[in-house]
Amino acid sequence: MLKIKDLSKKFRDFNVLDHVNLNAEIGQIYGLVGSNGCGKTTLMKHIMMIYKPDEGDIFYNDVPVVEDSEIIKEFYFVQDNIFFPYQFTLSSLFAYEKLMYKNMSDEKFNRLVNYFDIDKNKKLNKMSKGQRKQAAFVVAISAQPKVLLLDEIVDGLDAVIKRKFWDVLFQEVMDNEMTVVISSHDLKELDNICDRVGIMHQGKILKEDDLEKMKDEIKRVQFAVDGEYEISDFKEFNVIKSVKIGSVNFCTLTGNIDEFRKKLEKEYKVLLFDRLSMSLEEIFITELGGAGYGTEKE
Amino acid sequence: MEQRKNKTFMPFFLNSLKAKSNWILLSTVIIFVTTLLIPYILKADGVDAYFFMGIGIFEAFVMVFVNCLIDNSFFHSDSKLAYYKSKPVSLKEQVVVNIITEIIFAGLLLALIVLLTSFQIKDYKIFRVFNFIIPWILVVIFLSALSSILAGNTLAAGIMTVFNFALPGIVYLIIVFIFSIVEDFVAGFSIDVLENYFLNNVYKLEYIYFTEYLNKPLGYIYFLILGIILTVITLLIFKILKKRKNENTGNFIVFDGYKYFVSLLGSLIIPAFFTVSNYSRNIISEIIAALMVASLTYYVLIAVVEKSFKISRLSIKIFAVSMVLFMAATGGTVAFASRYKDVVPDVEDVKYAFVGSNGREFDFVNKYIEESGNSNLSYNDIIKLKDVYGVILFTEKENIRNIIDLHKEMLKNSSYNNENYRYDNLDITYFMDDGGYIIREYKTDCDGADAENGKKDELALKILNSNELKRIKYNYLYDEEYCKNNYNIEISVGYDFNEDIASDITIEELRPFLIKDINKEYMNTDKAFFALGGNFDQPYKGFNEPSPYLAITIRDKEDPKAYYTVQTLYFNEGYENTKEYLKSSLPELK
Repeated sequence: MLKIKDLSKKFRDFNVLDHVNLNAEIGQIYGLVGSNGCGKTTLMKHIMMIYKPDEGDIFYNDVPVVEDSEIIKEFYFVQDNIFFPYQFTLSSLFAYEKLMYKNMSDEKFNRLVNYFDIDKNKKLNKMSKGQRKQAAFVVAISAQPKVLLLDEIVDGLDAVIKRKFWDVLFQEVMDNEMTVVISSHDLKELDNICDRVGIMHQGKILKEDDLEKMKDEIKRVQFAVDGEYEISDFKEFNVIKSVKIGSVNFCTLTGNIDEFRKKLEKEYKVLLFDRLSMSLEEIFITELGGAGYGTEKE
Repeated sequence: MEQRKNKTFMPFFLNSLKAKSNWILLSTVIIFVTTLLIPYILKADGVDAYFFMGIGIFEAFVMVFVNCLIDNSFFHSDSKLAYYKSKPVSLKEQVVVNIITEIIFAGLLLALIVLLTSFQIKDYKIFRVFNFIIPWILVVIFLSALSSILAGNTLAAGIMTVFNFALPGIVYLIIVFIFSIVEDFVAGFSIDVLENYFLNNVYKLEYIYFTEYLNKPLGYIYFLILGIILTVITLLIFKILKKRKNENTGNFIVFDGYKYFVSLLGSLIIPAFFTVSNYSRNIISEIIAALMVASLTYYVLIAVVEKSFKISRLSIKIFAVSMVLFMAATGGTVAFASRYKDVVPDVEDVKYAFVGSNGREFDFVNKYIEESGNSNLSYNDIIKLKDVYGVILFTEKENIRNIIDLHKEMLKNSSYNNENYRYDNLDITYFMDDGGYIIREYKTDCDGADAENGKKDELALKILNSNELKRIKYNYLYDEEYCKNNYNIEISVGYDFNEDIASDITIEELRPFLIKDINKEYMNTDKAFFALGGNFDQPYKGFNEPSPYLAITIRDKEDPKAYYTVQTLYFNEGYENTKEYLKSSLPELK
C-alpha cells in the first residue's frame, strides 16, 4: 500500500502541499484529480523524492520511502513535460534504462512497441508529443515497477491510443499488482479506470475514497412537485446543490435518498422522482464547488 | 532501511564513457590540428611551439569545462532533473560518474597534447607546466559539479565555477583590502609588507594554486594539498547534494546562503579593487566611497540573482550585519596593529637590522636562511644577500642604534622634504636575537609642510659613512680580503646603456680613485636620508640625459658564464677623481 501521511511543503511562503494524506492499495489505480495548480505534480515529485517534504512521511507497505532508499528503486515516474536524454531513440532509451531497472522486460518492450506501432529507431526528440508519451509509457510498463506515477499521461492523445493505454494498464495492474497513481484533467477517462480517487484543491486532498463509494455518497435526483419546492425544508439531507430547470428540480445531496423521497412525498404532491447516476466530473465539480472553487461571480 | 547497492554504477559509468566518444573524437581532431598540424605547416619551433602547446592546453580546458557543464546541466531543468532524480541511480552516483568520465576525458586530452608537442619541443622542462595544469583541470572538474548543484541554471553554474575557482584569490583580495585600511590608520604598517608576509608565511596562494611547482619538483606536499582540496570539494558536493532544494531549479542560485555569500564577497571585491588601486590618502573619503560601492554592488548582485529590482528585507539585513562584522574585523585588526605601532626594540636584542626601501628584505633574508640552513649569517652571507637580493643587513650595534633612533624619528614625524624627488617609503626591519622580527614601513610624505629633515639626515649620514656599509656595499673596494681573492672583476664604461666603450681598465688601477670619490660623495651629501631609500646611492638628478656610466661586473673564474653587475656608477654628478682618470685613458669619454 502506498500511504502518504500529513505531507506538507512550502515554496517560500506559499503552502504548496498542506497536510496531504493519500492511501492507494496495491493493485489499485488511483486517480489524482484537482484544480489547476493544486499541487498534483508537486505531490508526485514528492513521492519520487525529487522534492523533499517539510513535514510528513511516505510509506510503501509500511516501509518509509526516503531519498535513495531501495524501495524507491521500484517506483517509476512519467512526467507531464516528458524529457528524454539527447539523441536517444526508443531503443537506446530502453537500453539505457535497462542498466538501471532490474525488472526491465525485453519481451514486454517488444510487444508494446508492436502494439502501439512506434518506430523504436526514430529519435525521440523528433517524435510528436503523443508519440513521446507512448514511448515513455512503453518504457515505464517494461520496467515493471511496483508503483507507477503517470502525470497527465493521456492528455493530448486520441481516443484509440487512450483505449490502448488503459487496456495495457489494466492488464499490468491485474498481472503484476502494480499501484498506479494517475493525474489527469480528463475526468471522463479517469471515471472509467480508477478504483480510488483523491480530489485536490489548494494543496489539500479535499476528499479521498473508492470511486464507487464516492458515487454512492453523493447522489443526484430529479423531481417535479405540485407547487414551489422549498430547499430550506430539507436541510437535514445535506443538499449540496439545487437547481430548477423548467418545472424539474435537480438536487445533489449526501443524505439518505429514500428518506428524502418520503419527506418530499409528505410535503408535496410528487409528480416525478428519479435517481440519476453521478460521474466523477460531477463529483469533482461538487466537491470543488463546496470549497468555493468555480462558484465565484463575475 | 536498506540503501541502494552499487550494482548499477559500473554499467552506468561505461555508458557515460561511451556517450563521450563523439566529444573525444572532436577534441582529438581540434588538438591534433592546432598543436601538430598547424605548427608543422608553419614550421614553428622554440617559443612558437610553446605557444601552440598553450593553445592546446587552453582548448583542453575549454572542452573539459564545457563538457562538465553539459553533463551536470540536468540540475538546471525541471524536467531533466525529474527524469534523472526519479531513476534508480542516485544523483550522487550520477555526479561521481560524470566526474570520473571528465577526468578520463581530460587525461586523454592532456596526454594527447604531451604526445603531439613532444615532437616539436626540445626543452622538456616546459612540461613542468602540467604540474599546475593537472590540478587546475581536476579542480575545475570537481568545482563545476559543485557549482552546478549550487546553481539553478547552466550559465550561473559556469560563472560560479569561475567564482569558486577564484575564491582563494578573492579572499586574499579582501584581506589585502583590510590591510590597506590598516595601512591608512596605523603608521608603520604597510600593505606591501603585510601582504608579502601574509602570502609567504600564512596564506600560501602559490601552493593553493600550485604555481609554486612550476619550477619545483613534486613532493608529498603537492599531493597532500591536491588531495585535501579535492576531498573538501567532494564532501561539499555530497553535503550540498543532500540539502539541495530542487524546487528552486531555474533560479540563478538554488541555495539562499550561497546567494548571500556570493553577493557579499562580490560587494567587497569591487571596493577592494577600488581602494587598493587608488592613491587617495583621505581615510574618511576612502571609507565612504568603499561603503557606497559595496552597497551598490550588493544591490545589483542581489537584484540579478533574485531577478527582481525590489530586494527583500532579509537581504538588506544580511548586508547590514555583514558590513558591521566586516568593520568590526577590520577595526579589530587596526586596534591590534595599533598596540604595536610605537614598539621600538632595544639595541641589545637586535641581531640584524635593515633600513632602506627594498620592501621584500624580510622574505629574502628568510629565504636565504631557509636555503642555507643557518640563521647565524656570516660576513660572506651578508655579502651574498647584498649581491643576490640587494639587501644590506647591519650587524654593528652602532648602526643598529642609529637605525633605532631613525625609527623613533619616523614615529615622531615621518615627513621628509626631498624637493623634486619622489620618495615614498622607508622600510625598517629588525631580526631579533630570539628569532622574532619587527617590520615597519613608513610613508615619507615628500611635500609635507611640517617635514623635518635635519635629524633624519644626520642619522642617515652616520649610517652612510659607516665602515660597515662601505665594507658591504663596496666590498670589492673596501674589503682587503675580498680584493685579494680569486674573483675576476671587470670594468666596462658606456653611455646610457647603449654605447659601450671598449676598455681594458682593471679594478686595481681604478680602486683608489673610486674609494676617494665614494668617501667624498657620502661625506658631503645633504640628502643622506634620501640616499637610504635609493640603495645608499646618491640622488641621481640627470636621469633625463644620457650619462656616461661605469659598470663593475664580477665574473667567476671557474664559471665564466656566471657573472653579475654589482655596481653601476653614473657620472652626471660626482665621481670627479674617477672620471678624470678614465678620461686620460678613454678619450671618447667627455
